[in-house]
Amino acid sequence: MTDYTNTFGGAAQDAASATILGSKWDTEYENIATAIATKQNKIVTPTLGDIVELDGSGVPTDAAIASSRLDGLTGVVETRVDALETQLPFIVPDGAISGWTRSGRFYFPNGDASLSNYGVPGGADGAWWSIGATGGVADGVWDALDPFTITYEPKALLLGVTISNIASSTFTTSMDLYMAAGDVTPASPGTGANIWFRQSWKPNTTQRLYQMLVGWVPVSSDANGPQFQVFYNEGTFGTESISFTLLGVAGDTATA
Amino acid sequence: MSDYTKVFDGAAKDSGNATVLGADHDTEFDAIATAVNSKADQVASATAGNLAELSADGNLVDSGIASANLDGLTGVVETRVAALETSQDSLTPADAVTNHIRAWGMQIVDGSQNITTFDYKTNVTEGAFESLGPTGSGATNIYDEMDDVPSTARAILFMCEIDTSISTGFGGVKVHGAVNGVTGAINDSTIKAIVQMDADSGDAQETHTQVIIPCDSSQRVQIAWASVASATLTAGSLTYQGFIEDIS
Repeated sequence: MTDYTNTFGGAAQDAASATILGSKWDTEYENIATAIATKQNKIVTPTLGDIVELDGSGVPTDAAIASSRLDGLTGVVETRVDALETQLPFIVPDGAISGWTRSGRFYFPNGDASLSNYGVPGGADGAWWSIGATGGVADGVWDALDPFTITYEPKALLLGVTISNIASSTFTTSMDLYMAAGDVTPASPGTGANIWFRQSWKPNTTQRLYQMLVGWVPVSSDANGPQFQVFYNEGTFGTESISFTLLGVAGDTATA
Repeated sequence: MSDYTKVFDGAAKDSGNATVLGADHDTEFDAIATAVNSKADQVASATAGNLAELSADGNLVDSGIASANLDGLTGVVETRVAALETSQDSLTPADAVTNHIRAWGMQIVDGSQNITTFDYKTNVTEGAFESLGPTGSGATNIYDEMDDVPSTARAILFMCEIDTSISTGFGGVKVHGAVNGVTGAINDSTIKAIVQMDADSGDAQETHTQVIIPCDSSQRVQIAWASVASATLTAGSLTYQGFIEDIS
């Protein structure tokens, strides 16, 4: 590449009262032409905002690609990727828990750990009784819930509800259980069709029925762990016991 | 950066019969030099289609990157990001329905509301599947407690009541469930809840237990019930308790 430098020396010629020859003009104009010929031309018929590419001769030309597309790549796309990366940890389930088998956000006891059952106390007879993990604020503590901290956002329990009832041919006995999450005001038991579990029977002689019913029940979860409420109505004769067996836990995530 | 503007005024020289000095030309040539030297040099060599980039001295040089690649990168990345966003949306469960608790893909009523029951004993003919679904679903039996179930639901949770009395001997009641529209038989493979026992006259047993029945894209299930031997269905109902949605 060549830049142009004035070699004319006109002032010196003046001082010497010299005649400036035509060849000196030739030299100067040729130098100018040489320099100009090595400089870039403007791009003909450009599209506003397009980026520039080179042709095979090194001449800049319109690439027909708007520069705004590249801004979208680094701006809008980056923002969208950031959002994806932020959401991803909430889509991926939480980790495994010793003694439990994880399937997505469902956890089932693998049989390796000994989990305690929860015997529903008389405090739940005709009144709402809350049950939660150790260290929580519930009426009763069920330590089988302890592994399911707020990290796992436990929201539903698969409960086995074992009811032992004694009845005879002369009367029917029954047990109605109402369930609710720990953080709601439960609907009034018996005022609507809100029985969660029910066992009622009338055998031909005095007999005992020992039966497990199974179902998912809602729980709330917070820093105190999972919590739910139970209310039962006992029938006319002896319900010997009600106990809960934890058969599974379903979790959620901290984001919508 | 400067453009060249002629400084020399030949006409003025002419009118004044003035001598054009060599110094006048120096001025002009210096102005030309300033302008020419502020322009970018041509690119010495390049591959057609490559992007230009700046050199340290402000000239253009071949970047070695084809502009088509950059355009392709933008297009490909945008397409892939859009696909990821679509996938992420489909991997994220629906918001919790009012008065439900969400456990990722499963939502259960939270116990704060009374829920009306669907009386299958009265409304479903014994021994035949009949559809059950939300308002507007086209099901034979409409159960409006299912109205808020989203279209992504693939199974419905019900509390199933079976209240049966048995005159004598062995008997009971079975409740069957299936996704609406399939032609499944009312047999052991479709049993969702069952109460059976040996009994004497007047014996009875009632159970409420949870069942999960798959639904079609209109949130319809089909249910059937059948009594066995000498049993009579005293009362039978389903109570909506939630749903499981597809996240995939």
